[in-house]
Amino acid sequence: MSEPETIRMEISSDGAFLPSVRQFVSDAALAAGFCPKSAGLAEAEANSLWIGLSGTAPGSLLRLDCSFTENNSLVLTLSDVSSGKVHGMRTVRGACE
Amino acid sequence: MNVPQVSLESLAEEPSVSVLRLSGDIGIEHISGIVQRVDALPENKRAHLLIDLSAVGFLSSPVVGALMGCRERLSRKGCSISLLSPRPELAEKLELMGVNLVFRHYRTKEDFLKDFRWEAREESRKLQLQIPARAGYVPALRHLISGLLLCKGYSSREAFVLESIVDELSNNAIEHGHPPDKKFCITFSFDKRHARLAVTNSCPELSPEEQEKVRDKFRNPRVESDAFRGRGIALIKKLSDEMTFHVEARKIQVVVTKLREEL
Repeated sequence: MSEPETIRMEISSDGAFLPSVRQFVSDAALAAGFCPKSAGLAEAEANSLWIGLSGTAPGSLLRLDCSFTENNSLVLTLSDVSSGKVHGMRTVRGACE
Repeated sequence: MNVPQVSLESLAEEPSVSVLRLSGDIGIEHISGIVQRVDALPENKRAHLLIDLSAVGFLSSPVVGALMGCRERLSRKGCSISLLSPRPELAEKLELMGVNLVFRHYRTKEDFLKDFRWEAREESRKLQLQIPARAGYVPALRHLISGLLLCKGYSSREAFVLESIVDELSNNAIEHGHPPDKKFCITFSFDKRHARLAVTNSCPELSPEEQEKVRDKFRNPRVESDAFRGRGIALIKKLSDEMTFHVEARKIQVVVTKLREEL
């Protein structure tokens, strides 16, 4: 990948959406050139970020930034749209050994 | 464990929801108190009874049976019923008894409110994406839109229609929009009755004539019988209930509305 790319997602905080969000992170990682194993890790990290949320208010929006960096890593950042509070951040390496 | 108690009150966040709060060890001697309170609930199609089990240590089988009976009578009045926050040991027992197959159950009040407002208040869900303008990301978008719809009760057919629309609009934004900022934006919202999708991209400056040409493509999409491509707009118009477009010198936006076919 020649330059960093960021996907910014803002989504209603509904627990039912977790499987789709996880799948999206994995699909996007594959599209960005990650190997299947690393895409699977990215999916697991997205899952762990979301599961770690506790009692988000009904109607609130969550922001998930997926930044594919120049050194072939994916940085996932989950935050609250209205307060800007960052719930967590994870980095996944894109290349399988 | 505290002295067993049974009380009924309204939920502050949603007055049409009554909360039956149980605490302590609930046995056969509490059944009449529970049944009396539940049966006194007025007939109301939008009403809901939430049974708060967070402070319950033990729930006897006859009480579970009585709650099943309450559910039956409440459903005849048009009310629905669900369980809130049983402790892990009680949750395990209820699962063994198959209660989780009969009652909806929620881990937290927030989870309940989200689901209740979707079902009863027809609250919408939202998704906004800023995504690099690369065709490789489009399959991920398709899966995402489809997954969100399916998990909220849309049929496979309805989800497929929406994912086809997002596919066509995204590919158009990438291939024909040539966005100078190399990204495009998707705004998607849906509730129990309809879905609305907007795809927006920036574009190199269009003269008034070029803008009109783009508008004409949206108004009167032409499908050549021997062409392999170029059917996108015609397809979107056929699949959607409404399609509008906004063409400016540096921005193009297409908005599609799709009503539910199966409710």
